[in-house]
Order: sequence, then C-alpha cells, then structure tokens
Amino acid sequence: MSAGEERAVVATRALTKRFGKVTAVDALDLLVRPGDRYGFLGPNGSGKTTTVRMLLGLVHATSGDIEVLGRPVPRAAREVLPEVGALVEGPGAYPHLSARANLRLLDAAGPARSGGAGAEPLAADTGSRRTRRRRIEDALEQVGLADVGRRPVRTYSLGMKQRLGLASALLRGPRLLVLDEPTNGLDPRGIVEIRDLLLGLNAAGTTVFLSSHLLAEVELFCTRIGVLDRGRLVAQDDLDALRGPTGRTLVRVEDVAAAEQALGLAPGGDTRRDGELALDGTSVADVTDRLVRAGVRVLEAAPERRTLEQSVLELTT
Amino acid sequence: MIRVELRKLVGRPRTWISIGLLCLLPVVVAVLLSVTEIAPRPGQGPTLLSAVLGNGALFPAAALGIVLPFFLPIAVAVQAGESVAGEASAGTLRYLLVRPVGRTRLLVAKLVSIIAFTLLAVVAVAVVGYVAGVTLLGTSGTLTTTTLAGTTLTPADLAWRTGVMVLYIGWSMVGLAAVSMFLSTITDSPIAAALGGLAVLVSSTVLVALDAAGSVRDYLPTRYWLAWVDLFRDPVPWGDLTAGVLVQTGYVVVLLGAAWANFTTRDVTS
Amino acid sequence: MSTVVSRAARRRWASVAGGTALLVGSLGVAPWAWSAVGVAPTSASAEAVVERALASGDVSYSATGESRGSLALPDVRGFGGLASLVGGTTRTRIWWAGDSHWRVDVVGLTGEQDTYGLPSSTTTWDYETRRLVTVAGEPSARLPRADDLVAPRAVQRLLSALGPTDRLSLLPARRIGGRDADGLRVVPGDARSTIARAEVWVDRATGLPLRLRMVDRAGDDALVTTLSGVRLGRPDDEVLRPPTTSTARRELETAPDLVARLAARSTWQMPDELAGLQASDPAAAGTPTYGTGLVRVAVLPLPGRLTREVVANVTSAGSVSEDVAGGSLVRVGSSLLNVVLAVGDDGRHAYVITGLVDPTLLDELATELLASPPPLRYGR
Repeated sequence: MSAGEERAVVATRALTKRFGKVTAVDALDLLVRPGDRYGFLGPNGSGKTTTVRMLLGLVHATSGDIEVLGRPVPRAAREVLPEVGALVEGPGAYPHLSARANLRLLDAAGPARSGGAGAEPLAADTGSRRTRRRRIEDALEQVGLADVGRRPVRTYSLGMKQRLGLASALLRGPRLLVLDEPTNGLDPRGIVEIRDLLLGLNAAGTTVFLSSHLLAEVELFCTRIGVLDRGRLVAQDDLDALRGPTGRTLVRVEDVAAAEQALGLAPGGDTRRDGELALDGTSVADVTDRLVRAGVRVLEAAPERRTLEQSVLELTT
Repeated sequence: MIRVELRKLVGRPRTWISIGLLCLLPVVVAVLLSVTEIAPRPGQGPTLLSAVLGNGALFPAAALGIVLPFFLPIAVAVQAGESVAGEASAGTLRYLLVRPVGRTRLLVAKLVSIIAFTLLAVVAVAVVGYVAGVTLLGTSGTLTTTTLAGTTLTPADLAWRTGVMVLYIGWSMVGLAAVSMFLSTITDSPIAAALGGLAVLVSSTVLVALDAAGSVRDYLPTRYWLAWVDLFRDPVPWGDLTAGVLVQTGYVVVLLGAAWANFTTRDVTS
Repeated sequence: MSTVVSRAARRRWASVAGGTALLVGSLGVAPWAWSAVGVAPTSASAEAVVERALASGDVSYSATGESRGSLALPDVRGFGGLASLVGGTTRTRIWWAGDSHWRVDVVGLTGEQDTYGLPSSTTTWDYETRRLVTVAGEPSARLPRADDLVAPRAVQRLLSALGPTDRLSLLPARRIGGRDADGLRVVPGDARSTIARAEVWVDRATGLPLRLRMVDRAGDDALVTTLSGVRLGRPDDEVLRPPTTSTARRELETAPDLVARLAARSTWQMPDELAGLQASDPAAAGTPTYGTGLVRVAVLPLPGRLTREVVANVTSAGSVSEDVAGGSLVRVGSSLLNVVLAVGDDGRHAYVITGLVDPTLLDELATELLASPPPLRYGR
C-alpha cells in the first residue's frame, strides 16, 4: 500500500447503478490523479450526484468497482472517508444550532482516530478531540464564517449555509475534497473567494473533485475534466486538450471588404462574421503578413480555440 | 456517537417541550381533582384515578395511566420516527455517514437516544405526578394507600411498585419506538414514520379488543400494555407482566433487526 | 466485487428473517407443539377418574382461571353480573387451601372483585365500589358466582350430579396448561338435557379438574372453563385473609343476592313433585330444584312488584308472552340454558323456572304450577 500516493485518487471500473429499470450510471471509468482539480461536468439528471454518492459509499453500486485513495469503497469506507471532505447536494445542518455547535457535533460523531489496525497511517490530525476547537476555528476562518457568533443556522442565508457545508468538508484536512455544486447560492464575490480557497488547498496537495453543471465554473477552476451524459462518461481529458485549437485563424480588421480582396476571398462570403474573418488552412503569421502587405490594418489575429462549451455541447448531443 | 446523540437529545428544545406537555395533562387533572374533589366513578375513567383523592402518593401511577393510552405513544413515536428520517430530511444523514459514522453504530446510538428519551419522559411524568399528587391532593394522612385487593401498601412497597411500573411502561414504549424506528429507516419523512408507528398502535388496540382475533391476540404489541395495573394487585401476578416484556422484546429484536438489515444496505439518496 | 452489496443485503435480511422465524417458533409454535405431543393413555377407568376428581376438593393449589360462556341472558337488574358471567369471558386468580378456605379474584382491566371463602362465611371485596361484604353461612339458593365457574368446582358440581343413566367414557389424555390430564366424556342419558356432552380433563397427578367444556345440542361450546399456571401447595395464609383496610365500607349480610333473598322470603309451599320430577333439596323448600342428574330445574317464586319489572325487562328484550290456563308464559333461552317466566292471572303467583333442559319440559312445569298454585307455607 506504500504506492498509494502514486496511484489514482479516485478510480472506478465499469461502475454501474440501476434504480429499478432506470440506469442512472452506466459503465463509468473515472480516473482522478493526485493533485488534480477534476471537473465532473454534466447536465442535470446525468448521474453526477449518484456517482458522487457512490464514491462516498452512500449509494451502493449495482456492479463495478470503486477505489478511493487506493482502497475499495464501500468495503474500506471506514479507513478512506476520514481523509475525504465532502459536500453532497447542498449543505445539511441542524437548524437550531450555531455553526460551531454543528461542526462540533459532526466532528465528535466520527471516529476519534481514523484508520484501524493494519491500515496505512493517515494524516495525524484527522479527528482528535484535542485539536477539535482549533480545527473548527480554522475551517470557519477559511470559508469566511469566523465571526458569525452563536446565531442558529436557521437564520443563515443560502450562501452562508453553503460556506458552512464547505467548512465541514475541510474540518479534518482531507486529502481529497469531493464537492457537489459547491458555489450554489454564493454571490460572485463568494464564488471567487471559494475558488481562491480551493486553489490554495490544491496547491498544498489536496486533490479536488468538483461536480458541477456550470461550464464556466469548471473551465475557470479545473485542470482535468470528465463529461457525463445520461449516465455515460463521454469524455475524460485535460482541460487544454478539450479546448484545443480548431485549426482556423480569426482575424479582425478595420476594412473587411479590403481584407477579403487581399486574401482572395469572395466578398461577403461565409468566412465573414461581425467584422471578423475565420480562415481555414492558414496561420496567424501568414495571414497578417499578407494583409499588412496589402495595406489592410489588422486589429487582432489569433488561432481559433474551441470553448469548453462547444466541446461539451458536441459531446452531449 | 452515542454521546453525540444524547447531547443532541438534551440540547434540543423539542425534547423538553414534548416532555413538558406530557407532564402538563396529569397536573391539570390533579388541579381539577383537588379543586372539585370529584373523582371519576370507580371503574370509569383512567385506571387508579378513582383512588387518588386524598391519596396523592398513588398519583404517579394514575398520571402514567392518563398519558399512556395516547400522549406518551405519540411523543415516543414522533421521537423514534425522527431518528433516521429526521436526519435524512434535514440533510445531515449523508454528512454523518461520510464523517464516517458506521451505519450500525448510528442505529445503535439512535436507539440509545430513544430509550433515554422514553425513560426520561416516563420518569418525568412519574416525578411530576408525585409532586403534583402530594402537594395538590395531599398525602394519605389517615387514609392508607391500598392495592386493588384492598390490602395496605407501605411507602416502600409503593415505591418499588411504581419503579417497576416506570420500567415496564418504558419498555412497552420502546416496543412502539422500534416500529417507528424501523419505518424511519425506510422513509425519509419523519412524520410518515411516526404515523406508521401510531397506525400499528391503533390497529393493535382495535384487534386486542376483538374476540375474533383470539388466536393472535396474545402476540399483539399492545396486548399487555395495561398489565402494569397488575403491579397494584396483591399478590402481584407476574404472568402478564413477564409475557408483556417478552412480547415487547420480541418486537424490539425483530424490528431493530429489520431496521439494521434495511439501513445498512440501502442507498442513502436524501 | 467489494462495491456490490446486494449479496450482503440478502444475507442480512435472511438472518433477520431467520431470527424472526426462530422467535415466532419458540414463542408461538413450541408451546402449541408441546401441548400436542401425545400423553401416555391412562390405566384408570372412567369411574376411577370421576372418583379422583370428586375427591380432589382438598388439593391445595394456586392458579389462574378463565371461563368463557356463550349463554345470552338479558341483563336484568337485581341479577348482578350473571349475564356477563355466563355470557362472556371471566378471568380469575385462584388460591385454594381447601373447600372451606380459598380465595378467587375476578380480575378486570381496571379493578377486581375478590371472594374469600371461609368455613362459615364468604367475604367479597369489590375494589370499584370499595365495599367489603361478608355473607354469614351458605344460603339455600343463590346466583352463581365466579368461583362456581372455576374449573375444579364446576367439574365437581357436574360429576356429583351424575345419574345412573348418564354415560361416561374416556377421552385420549392430553396436556392442559403443561400438565398431563386424563379426559372424560359425559353424555346425559336424559334427552331433555340441553347438554349434548361435557368434556372434563382431570390432572393425572392430583385428580384436580383442569378443564370443563360443555357442548350444546347444536355442537357449539356453551361453556369452557380452564385452569392454567397451576402451582400445587398451600397458598400463604396472608393471601387468604380478607383485607382489613380502613377505607372500605363494611357490610354484613345473610343473603348475598336477589335469589337468596327471595328464597329466604318465599311464602309458598312448593310441591314435592312437578312434571314427574322430584324435588331434590328438601331444605330449600322455598326455592327447590326438581330432577336428578343433569336434568335439573330451579323454580324461583317472585314477589309481585319484582315480577312486573322482570317481565318488562324481558319483553323489551324481544320475548313474547303466551297465554296458558291460569296465567301466561314468557320464554327466554339459548341453546343451552332456558328460562320460563310464569305469571299467574291472580297477580300473586309468579315464578322463574330455569335449567339446562329442553324448553318443553319447563313449559310442563310452568303450566302445572299455574294450574294448581301452591298453598302458603305454614307459619307465615
């Protein structure tokens, strides 16, 4: 088990879940590597949450295998889960208690020391009572809830509840964060704060598995992306690979007609869009060279890249 | 986990409100009795109530007799129905499970918490009943406390009989709680689980009163609920009390087993 | 396949189902199976079993009893709990130290009524009315009490009344309340008896009757009374002593109920023979019973004011009055117990005539009584 660090943080093989006759998740092969910021993308109802629940041992698979942190789930869930922080389908808290009291109860509910006999040694500080107070304060500080005082959770806004949910996921300094729609209900400023927090944690070595239907969020944060559509994984690749160049070059000029003439294109042809030309089979250097020599002033020229949105729409329709 | 559950139980306003309401009814009855001095005709009204005028030391038993048919089962069923389904509907169940808390451990902790609540409620009613009885109805004075057989009860006698009664009623309630707790692992709605438990209670009560149910009657959960009255007979007939404990234990074991089998293997989708 | 848990789920449910089956088996089926396991047949004759049952009056024991009757009687005021006693289920607790030293509690859901039998009196404590009533002596006639329906007493009464024409036979022995019991079948020789047969089970070890079942001519159970949880040995004297509580109302009476009072006050010299049946108890001249064996008829004269009330009660329950020579008859009855209310035209003579016999026999007695009214008793 000493090779655990090099092995995948999350790996599933042919993971399938059927609810009655409905196949929610179909033969999924996920691979999340250590240090990844993994974006798990898919439209509503595509099976993201079911997958997340299976990774955490909440839902039992119909067939297939799951390994989290190198150990099988749910069989070794007791050893694995103390090192996983999770936010599943919105936060959950006892409404009549304060954020601190909620975190205290939740922390006290779990095992005091993680890992049984024979399990690989885990991070020292995963759940002991001695450090509880400090860990709670740290977590609240991290998510920006340090000064909420003793207000009961029922008076919180949705965003504050979401932050509390994140705090509970961070409580034990997890090696893996599994976050299902973590920015739900947060204002734009909050979203940026949380993103910075997660980037910081990731830089310090925490692997982040982020499930979301928001392309923009995933595109801004993730390094690796899996796309789920109707229960099937239709793509799993690095972000840069998914939004690679299309091979076309985009040129913006002051005088489109002159540019068309200089490049030998039919006036008003289908390469023309809003003062821009999209050209096949050429490069930025080549095009600017020809336009400048023809005396056409170039405002902007760049190779066209697919947006993530385009890739995903292509993959899921 | 057990300590956490007990802390949740104690820290929750609802626990104390429901126990307070449970205690309120006997106090109201005691006040009315002391003001009007009209005891229900013997053989009518709640058990033993006819005997408490001027005999406040017997009021804990009468107080439990007042809340037993209706209010106590409701309080217990609601508490037990809340156990797992309440966590599910509040969204906290999944966080407890990924903490991780073992599912069996969670069930055991919930069970301990329910038993604690039940005992707390029964003891509270008995204590409040005693205080209300002694202050409002007076101690026996010249009158002595008697059994149903008309023999005299010493205070020590009365104390142990009341104590056993508290435990017996408590255990009867745990039998009901097991029904609601099992349902609580099936549904995510605490109300549905509580009502399910009460539905079982009502059906059982109806069937017990039905002669046609003769062959199964002795195995119905509420068959021996009123057997605690036997504690105030002389000599105490232990047969029904023992049978009652056995039947309740049977239900508790079977239903908790089913709750365990269901909960430890089901998908948590709340 | 560590991910898949359906096999674990099946295993867990199977173990729960197995546990449940085991529980149901041990609590529900095992006692039933045990009671069905054969008991070695007895070597004694039917007559010997009867002997032993009749001689068991001094066997000391404590037990619980249950009697279930299906005799539908109208609930007439003055007749106390008779209707519920013979028409419903009565649960009792019994402590027996001998025929003149016993205690029988009638246990209700919220109260109890305890009767203490002592050599020269019986004392009844009623929790619900908080009355402690002592009846001195044994009245010549009275209504049945719960202790009369306790299995040993009921069986002894039945067996001691057997006549030469009644037929006895042995039933296969079986277990009653965990005790080996010899079975006995009694078939009345007289066709006018409404009892088709009675079944009696007698404890093999002590001769204590444990169960009586009376079956009417329609084949239905008319009365079943059983003793269970029998513990042999003399009960504590403490238990057999009536309570001495200061809160009770104490009363001393000579006649415990309406029948006893009427019997004591009866003014008529009843005939020695009616419808061919001999008066069987000369001591009870005021309220004699007629007949022998299982065919016995009790005749109870009623005073005028009570007559009107009883007639009104009975006719309001649906019975029809029929005129005969010298008076009218009202019949009330079930398949087992029949009652005829005979009211004379002079308004002075009225009788309740009852027995576990065919109604036509009661009619015979009634018409004979109305046709030739008995004279006043001497000394009245």
